[in-house]
Amino acid sequence: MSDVHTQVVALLNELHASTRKVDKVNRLRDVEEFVVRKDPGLLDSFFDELIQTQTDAEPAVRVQLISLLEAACLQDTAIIARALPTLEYLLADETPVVVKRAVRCCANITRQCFAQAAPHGINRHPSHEAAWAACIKLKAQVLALRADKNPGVSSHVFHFMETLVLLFSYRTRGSVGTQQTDASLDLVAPEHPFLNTAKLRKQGRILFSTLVTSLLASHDISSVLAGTITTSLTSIAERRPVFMGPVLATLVRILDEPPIHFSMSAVRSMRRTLRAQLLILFKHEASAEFHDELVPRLEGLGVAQRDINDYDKRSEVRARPLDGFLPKDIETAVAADEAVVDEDEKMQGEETKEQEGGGEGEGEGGGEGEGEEKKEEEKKEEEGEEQLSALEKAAQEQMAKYPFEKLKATLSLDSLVDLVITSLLALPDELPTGDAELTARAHRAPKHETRQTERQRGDVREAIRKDEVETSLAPALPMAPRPDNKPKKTKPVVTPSRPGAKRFALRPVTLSAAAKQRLCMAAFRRILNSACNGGRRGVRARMSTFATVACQMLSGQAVDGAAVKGTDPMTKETLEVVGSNPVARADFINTWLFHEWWQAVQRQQQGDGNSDVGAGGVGDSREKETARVKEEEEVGDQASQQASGGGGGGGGGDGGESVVAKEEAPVHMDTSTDATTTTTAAAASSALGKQNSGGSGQSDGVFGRYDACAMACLQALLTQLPMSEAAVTRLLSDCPRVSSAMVANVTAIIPTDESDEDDPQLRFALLTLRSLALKREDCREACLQALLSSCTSRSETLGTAATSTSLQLFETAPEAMRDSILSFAENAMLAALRTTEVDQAAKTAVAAQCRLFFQLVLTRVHKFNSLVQGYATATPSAKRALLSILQHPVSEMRRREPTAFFEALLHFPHNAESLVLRALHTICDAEEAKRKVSAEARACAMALYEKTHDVRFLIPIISALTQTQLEDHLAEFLSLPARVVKQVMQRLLKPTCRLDPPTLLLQLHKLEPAGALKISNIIVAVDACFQRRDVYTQPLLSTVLEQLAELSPPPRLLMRTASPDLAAQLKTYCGEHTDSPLAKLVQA
Amino acid sequence: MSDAKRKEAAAAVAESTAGGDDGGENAAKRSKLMEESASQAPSPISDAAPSPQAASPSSLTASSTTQLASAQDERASDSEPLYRFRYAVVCSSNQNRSMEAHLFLKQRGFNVESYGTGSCVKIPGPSIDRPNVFEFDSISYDEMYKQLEAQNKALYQQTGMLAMLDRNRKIKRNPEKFQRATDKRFDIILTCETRIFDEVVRDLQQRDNTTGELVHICNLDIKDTHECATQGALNFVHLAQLMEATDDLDEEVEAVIARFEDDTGEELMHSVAFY
Repeated sequence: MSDVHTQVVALLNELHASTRKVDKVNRLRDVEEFVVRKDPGLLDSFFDELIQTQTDAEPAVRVQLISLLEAACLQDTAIIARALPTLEYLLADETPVVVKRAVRCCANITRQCFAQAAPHGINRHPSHEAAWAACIKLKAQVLALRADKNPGVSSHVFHFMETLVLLFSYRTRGSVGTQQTDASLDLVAPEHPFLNTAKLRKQGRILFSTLVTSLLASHDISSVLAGTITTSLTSIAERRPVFMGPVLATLVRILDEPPIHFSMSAVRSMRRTLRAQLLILFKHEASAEFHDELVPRLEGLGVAQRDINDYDKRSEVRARPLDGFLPKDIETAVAADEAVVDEDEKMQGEETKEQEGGGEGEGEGGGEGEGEEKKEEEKKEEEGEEQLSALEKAAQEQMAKYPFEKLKATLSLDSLVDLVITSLLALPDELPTGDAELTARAHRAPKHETRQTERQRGDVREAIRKDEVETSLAPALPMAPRPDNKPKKTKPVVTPSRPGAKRFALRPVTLSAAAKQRLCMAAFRRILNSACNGGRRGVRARMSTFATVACQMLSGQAVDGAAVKGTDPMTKETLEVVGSNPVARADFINTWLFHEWWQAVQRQQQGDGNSDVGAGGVGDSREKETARVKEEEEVGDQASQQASGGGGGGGGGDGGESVVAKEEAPVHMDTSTDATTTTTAAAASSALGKQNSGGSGQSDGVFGRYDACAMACLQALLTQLPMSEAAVTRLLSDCPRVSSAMVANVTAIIPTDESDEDDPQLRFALLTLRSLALKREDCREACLQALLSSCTSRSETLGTAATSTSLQLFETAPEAMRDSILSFAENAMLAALRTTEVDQAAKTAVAAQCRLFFQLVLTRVHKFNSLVQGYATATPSAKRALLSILQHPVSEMRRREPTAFFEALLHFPHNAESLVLRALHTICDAEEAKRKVSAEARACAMALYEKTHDVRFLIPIISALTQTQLEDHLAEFLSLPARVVKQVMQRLLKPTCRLDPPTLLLQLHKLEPAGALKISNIIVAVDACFQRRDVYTQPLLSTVLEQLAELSPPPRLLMRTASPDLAAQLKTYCGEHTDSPLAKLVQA
Repeated sequence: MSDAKRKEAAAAVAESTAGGDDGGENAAKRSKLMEESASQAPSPISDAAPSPQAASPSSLTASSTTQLASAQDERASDSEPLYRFRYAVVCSSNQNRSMEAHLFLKQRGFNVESYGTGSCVKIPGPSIDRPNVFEFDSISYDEMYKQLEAQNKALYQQTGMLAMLDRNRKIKRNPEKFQRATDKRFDIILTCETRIFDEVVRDLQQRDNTTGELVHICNLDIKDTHECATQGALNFVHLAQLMEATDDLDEEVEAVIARFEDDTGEELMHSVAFY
């Protein structure tokens, strides 16, 4: 046994034993190296062991297996037949990445197999035939994947089709590449036993047609898929110039009319890609006859004139139009193509089976007599004919197979509904609209955007009417009342029939009222489900159309009394569907609300008798109407607030309940995660009923239905928090009107207990209120009230979080809104200061209000005056609460606007001295701690003193006073209460004070009690000096005492100093020096 | 790291780097962006490389680059790669925009290479009509650095060219031309200018399709200045993280583009091609 064999065995053992994905892939790669590259003979021995990995749980391992098989097949095509079951199995894999790799593998081995088999004519090789048969089978399976929902998979399939088109066509003059690198029908030997060039060429053309029609006709093609097909078509045109005309026609069509469901970004990308691709084809010699049409488009795409001029052949070649290359009815052509491809595949499969069974069967037309001559004929024919005219012929043939009788037999109520809905999807591009705004926008916006907008928002009934299509089904669809003139009777459009085509017409059908109702409900249910259950990508555009139709059917019901009350079957059905999964139905909810709102506006117009606002004039007056509606709402809200006694912010500071909360009691929120969808739907329905029956007065009759729907949807969404956060935000941001009751419902989800500050529900509610206050003018007041009221909540967590959110709002809000926030905070703060409650909770509330206010006024220091005014009239308890939080805001105000702040301090009212003093102390202490008291603070304090003659204002700036000033004001300082005197002495004894300690002690002794200056205060001051042993040291004291003794008459306090207690004290400090002063005192 | 954890991490980092500034205007903003990028989007390889010094290109020392590269090699050899896709960043000269993005993506562990599509490498010279012109693939960044240093060190220091070349030479040896890298395969090609996008699309279109691998081409218009390059690199990082967070990029690429455009406010162009 060779070394390589042993190593492979070891690797396979490791492969099967390993559990890690990376190890498995690496081992498989190593095995590939050995059995494919080093010793290909070993593959046969280990093939069965290797393909066991096709069932491995890791997609990466399966992908690696495909790589191995591909490498082996490319090296020896005889292995393809053996690998066929594995590849078929992996093509049906559930993981897209595996399927994509398998499709790529199929493309590569098909190309290789073709290139190897084609040149062998009479000398056929049995393995080639078997390999080609396997490739045919794989091809059928791969092509069946072209409608896969994964765009990656279908992209690979279309790329596979490109490979086949290139293989199944001839190279002609101008083909890019060389014959060696570009396999084609040219390689096929003249008398090939199993490669029938005629059939293959036909198949190639059909596949090409499929590529074209897939791009042009698909309603929900993804941008990836569209990009893939255009890339493939460009590649085909480059390599097979015979397809140049149809390819250019297709690219030009997609350039002119990009898929309507594409986003603007996707359209932009596609145009740029097409620009590059058209430029490549423009430079190709085979495109010369189409330059007439290409040049204007390239110029429109911004290609430099220099590039165009270098290759422009308009003057040399006769122009040929691109129009004729594409069928008029692409959709029919698609159906025909698919049918032909399927049929062709079927035939191929049968043929292959026959060949396998019969052994040496020969293909059609593969007779002996055909040779090079026939091939040349085919080639010329291919170059000469109009390639895609066959599409239309095929479509006609296909239609002829399905006569009307067959169709009629399959028509039932359900299929009729399906037919109607399907036909809605194929509405014409140009949809009329009565909305002047949209029309005006359509003139400005790019064509694509216009079409997209109209398709999504346009009135379907208008479109039907404008198209003048009258069928017996039309009355069955519920129509909203039209205020303007009656529908005009017009002739139905008669499509010019092709010669030989059968006329298709429906006879008028008379339906009973019950049947109509049943038909309507069935159609509505179906449309509603389609609107609510959608997927990704292009389906969104279709969903939007469905939603529009559903909403219009709903609005059509609004004329009935039951519908206005929200008890009609359609509304109930809608609420149930929405309530069962509101998060997934967010798109539909938005569409629905918009339609309800717009209907309400129209109803209001009708009520006002504005005859000038008809179908055609709705758009003209839409802005005015919107403004008017807003005004009415504001008036209504104000009236309702007054009626409920809420008032403005002035008296509403107490408690956390907002005014709006009283208007509509929010549904109790069950935040438990196991709430069933049934209860959600029930809650939504009950809310609707409550709205309608309650008659709270908040919503007038016109908007009652809209508000009820919006409330029901919002409540349904709120029951699914936090999963529905995005949907709630979107609903509140995008819906045309937010009522106060909706705001109250958002407020109601705030937990009132002491929850965690990071509680997601708390954060979400506050952020939503903030966002609404910023973005929505219609509910700004309500949101502000709710948010700011929460600042004073008894719950500290809520209060802190709400304050923080309010500050964030304040910082980001526009100026006008800031003023209103400030006014609210000011009023609330003043109300809090007047509270007579003295418990801790009341103090906390006052502190919270003041903190909020302080935070808000940091940049508006003039507002500080109102705080000072409020303080003057505040209760003692509130004053204490306010003073306790004063330090930080005062420092901030001083830092931000010093001049304005000191100015504000100077104009304080009576009874607010303590506030001003506390502010001065805060500032001066902070400044002194850093360096020294500033001149501004000193000037302010001096001014306050001069204004009031209250020496307390000088205390903060003691360190900034001169010695003379200090000596002058010392008596006044000592006239203050004893506890203040102690504070004064502490400041006087600081090193920064300009009055040195000996002088201070001397001055204290010189003072004589008079008026407010009491001897007790002087004693307190002297005691304060003696307590500072670090300042009044032994030598300093002896010096001072000597000076005191020399005074004549001796100071009154010297007697106290001579007392025994003091003597003992002196002895302790002065030791032997004590005798001298005492002796002098005795002599005196 | 399991698939789920990898996606979670990628999604989290994508979330953290979402939004931000509209475009760098000055050096201060640039340094701020650097700080943000360093603080908000920690390098995924930081657990392997103790201190990758992710913040500033100039602060990326040779040792840390080596350490970073060795850590990546180590991961690539015996463990699952951190990210799935192979990226190429393409600009005109493979000097500023693509190299800045190369650095940012590499620091975060992405498998990335960078290229230029121009006919030659141009670096601003003493005046606008006298640029320094070099051939692709023939001269290394180190040699360019030395040439410019010898020419006028003060000038090129002032214009930031020396710092840029210093950064580049620590990332790879020499500028590479995209059109010549025909043997390389990428899953995503990021271009920095619409013109480059056109050239890449054209080049891929005109290559011989052999393997059939699908490649996504994304373009983000970035001005050729240091500040915009930094902002653009951050955007590319965000885009890459969004792409890595998908289950199947082919299916979700439209959603990724929409999300990216929402997050950054930039317009992204997208196309597909096949190898």
